[in-house]
Amino acid sequence: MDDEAECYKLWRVKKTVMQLCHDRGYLVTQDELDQTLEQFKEQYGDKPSEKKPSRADLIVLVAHNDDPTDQMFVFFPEEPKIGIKTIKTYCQRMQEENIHRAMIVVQQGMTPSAKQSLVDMAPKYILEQFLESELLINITEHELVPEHVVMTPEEKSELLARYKLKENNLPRIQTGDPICRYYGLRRGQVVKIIRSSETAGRYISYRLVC
Amino acid sequence: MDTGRVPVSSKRTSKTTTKRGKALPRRAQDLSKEELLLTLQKKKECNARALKIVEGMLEASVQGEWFLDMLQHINQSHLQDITEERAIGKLCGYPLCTNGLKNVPSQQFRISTKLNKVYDITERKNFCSNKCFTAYKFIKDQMYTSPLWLRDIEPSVKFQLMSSTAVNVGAGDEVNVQVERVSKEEVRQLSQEDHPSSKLRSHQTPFMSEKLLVDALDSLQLITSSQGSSPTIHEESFESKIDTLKHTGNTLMGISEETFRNEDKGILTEENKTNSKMDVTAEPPRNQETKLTEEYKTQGSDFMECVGMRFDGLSLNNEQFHQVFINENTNNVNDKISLVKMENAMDIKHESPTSTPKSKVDEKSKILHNGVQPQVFSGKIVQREIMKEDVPLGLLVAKSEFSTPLTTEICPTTQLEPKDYADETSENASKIKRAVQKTKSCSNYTTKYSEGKAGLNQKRLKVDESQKNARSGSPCSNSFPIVSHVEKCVKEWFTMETMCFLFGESALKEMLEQKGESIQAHYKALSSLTWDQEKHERFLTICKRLKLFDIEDSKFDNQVVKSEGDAARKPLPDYTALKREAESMELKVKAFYRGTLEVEEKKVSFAEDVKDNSKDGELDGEPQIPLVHLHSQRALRKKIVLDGLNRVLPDFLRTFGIRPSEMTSSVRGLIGTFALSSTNITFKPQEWSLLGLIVIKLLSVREFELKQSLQQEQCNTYLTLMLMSYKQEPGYLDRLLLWLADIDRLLARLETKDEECS
Repeated sequence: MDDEAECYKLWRVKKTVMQLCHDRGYLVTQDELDQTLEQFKEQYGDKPSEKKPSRADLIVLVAHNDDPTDQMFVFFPEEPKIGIKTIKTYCQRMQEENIHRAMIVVQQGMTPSAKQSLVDMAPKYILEQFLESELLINITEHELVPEHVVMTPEEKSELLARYKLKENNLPRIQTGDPICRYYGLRRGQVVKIIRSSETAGRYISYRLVC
Repeated sequence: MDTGRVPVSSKRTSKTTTKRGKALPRRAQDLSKEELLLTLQKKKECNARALKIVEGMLEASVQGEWFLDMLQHINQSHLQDITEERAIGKLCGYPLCTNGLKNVPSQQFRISTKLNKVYDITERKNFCSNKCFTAYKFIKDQMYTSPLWLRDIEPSVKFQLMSSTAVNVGAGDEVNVQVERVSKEEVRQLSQEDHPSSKLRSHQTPFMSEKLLVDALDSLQLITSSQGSSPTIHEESFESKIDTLKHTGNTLMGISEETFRNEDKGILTEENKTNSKMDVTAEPPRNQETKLTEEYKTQGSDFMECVGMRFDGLSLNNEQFHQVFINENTNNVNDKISLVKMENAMDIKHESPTSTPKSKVDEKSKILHNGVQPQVFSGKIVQREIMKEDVPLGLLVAKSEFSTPLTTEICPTTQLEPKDYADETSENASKIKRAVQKTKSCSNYTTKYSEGKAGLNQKRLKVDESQKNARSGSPCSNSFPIVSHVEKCVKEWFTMETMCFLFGESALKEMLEQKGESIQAHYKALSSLTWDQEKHERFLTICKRLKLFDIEDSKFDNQVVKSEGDAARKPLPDYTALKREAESMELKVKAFYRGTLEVEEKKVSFAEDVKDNSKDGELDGEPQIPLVHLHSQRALRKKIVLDGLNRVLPDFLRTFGIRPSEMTSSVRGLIGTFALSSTNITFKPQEWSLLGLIVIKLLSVREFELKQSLQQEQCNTYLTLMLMSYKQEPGYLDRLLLWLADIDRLLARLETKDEECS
């Protein structure tokens, strides 16, 4: 792949990642969200084949709006396919910096055992994996994707009380759903979906992540 | 599920499991919650252990023993994972290998041009060498596919590492591209399609038996040749016996065919009465036939003996049969037979190149013999059958009687193809009627007709053989027109140079010396012709160089003309002057074609005179054909043959796993040695492909690689099937090669050529 295309791809991925962080409630500056390709090239360089930028340069650390101690790493591994060893090094780094959440943006994929190791670390360290190709566009901006709002635990209990529901009475959404992965939802959380409706103007439904 | 029972049953089951510890798994519904949890935990443990093992195997050096011990705790997928993980870490995927990975290709597939195969190398890319890859596959194939947490109730297996001497497999997983590859089933279908087209034949000539016959046949041929070398009375009697065999055989074939046909059609004539008798016996004709072929196998050798013994038992048989056949018919029949015999003796002479002129001289005596021989021979068979089957003599006598009169009647049709047989059903019907009537007259025997028919079939089989014998000169066993045409042409092509090309000079020299001929006589011929590929090549380069000179010359000329033209544009020359010039030029050309250069000088001076003269020349009517070089014709023919072969050969070679380009020069060389004439270079597509096979066979004498690949089983079956479509048995090509490479034949041909020349 030539430098131009690679550069463009990295820029798109970076942009989507920043939007994702923003949507999840992490602190991202407006400059970072609005960064153009030219600005990206200025900041990181325009020759990915000569390690300008190398993927390691793109690594981001973002802190949550509400709780500055809740931080998240976004890793960009150099290898096309990553194995357990890479995961291990990332894990070490997270331990050192006392960060419990991370995103890994891989180029081609992971070995099955690496995926398994992600699951094994799950309760303590939450690592999510995305493919670069998945992040080329921001799916939430697609016209057919309605607006999703992640509900806080309080909102959730209020909802259940209001409609006199039990948790299992709610319709479900899978954890592997692209939207769930985008927002980093976990089992038990509820998401509010707001669609526009011809008859009612707005139509709101809820989904329980399972 | 009955909830009330659950605790009871679960308690019991839990007890049993604790007692045995290794119970077979039951359905999840039958398990109690604790048990389910236990299983779940176990599953988790196992998976965790597997993951740990995978991690452990990522080290650069893994101990062999530990590796083998751990293998039973992981799955195939884990092993695959290990290779991937190691490859990511730039290590060879095989855990016991400490090499690093270097120069990993980026593409997904590798195309082997040598084997014409495509390999998916995604997996192979994880390994340092093919050896490691094979070793990995070897281990992987030994692994269980059962879930890890159920492993403890299975017997533990001892894994084995691949021995260092094991052969390498391909460089990856073979990808099945849609290349034309003939599968066995397809070919089988093809051959099945082929056979019904000759339904009648398939009735008569069971292919199985034909194959079995080949051995017996070869030895029989030996006998004929050995007898042929000693010009005694044996030779003639043997030959005539062959004739006899042929005719009785054809007769019998006709009869059996008749019976089959009549059964099928169910014609309601008076024949049916007699046929119904036959039907009783021939109800399972196929079964009988197959049985007979088996029987025949054993009898093949017996037949040989019988041929030998015939001479001993001749007088005896004669006596026997004269006793039986003392009726008015016999004499007539014998006369007829002898007439037909004469015709066929002539035919045989034409067909078999080995037959000696002696046979012509002794024809009369043969005719005399022939009168008696049919019966003699059938009687001989009868004797054998008696020994074999304990069938009463009388019955078989009836059978032979049955066949002899028919011999005379069907003889005219013997030269016809099976199709023609079918057409002449009605004609034959009457014959069979008569024959059956005769059998009726011997009413004692009709009851046991079944045995008689068995005998008939046996005889028929023998007849196949005898037919082959009749043509012992040619390797072709039947009169398949394509095959015989191709054979004839190849025979004509084959020259001493071809021998030299195929077997090498020294081998040829030896062969010739064995024959007591000096190679010098033939050597002259060899050296003069361009059979040698190298010489031919040199010739070509010289030609090329000459052409280059020519081109340069013309270039120079052009330049000169151009420069002149540029320098001064002359006004247009006078028209009459131009005309005169043109005329003189034409004259020059004409004179040149006539081959006389003197004329030109005389006549250029006066255009008028010349005109008259030239007119006279035309009136003389001498056709002025441009001179043609002898070699240009040869080259043209060679080109035609090469073109034809190029259409079929690449496919064949590819199926034999050889690149066509490797063989081009050899094919060229071989064709170069052939004596091609204007009459034997055009073929039909089917014939071309047979020619292709023959050429490949010829080349295999010279090319070791080709020979090797021909010996592979796959190629063998392919060849067999190909030959089957020409109705030839597998040994056909070998026999053809022997026949072609027969030095005596070549020498004889050379002599005849010399005679013609002188």
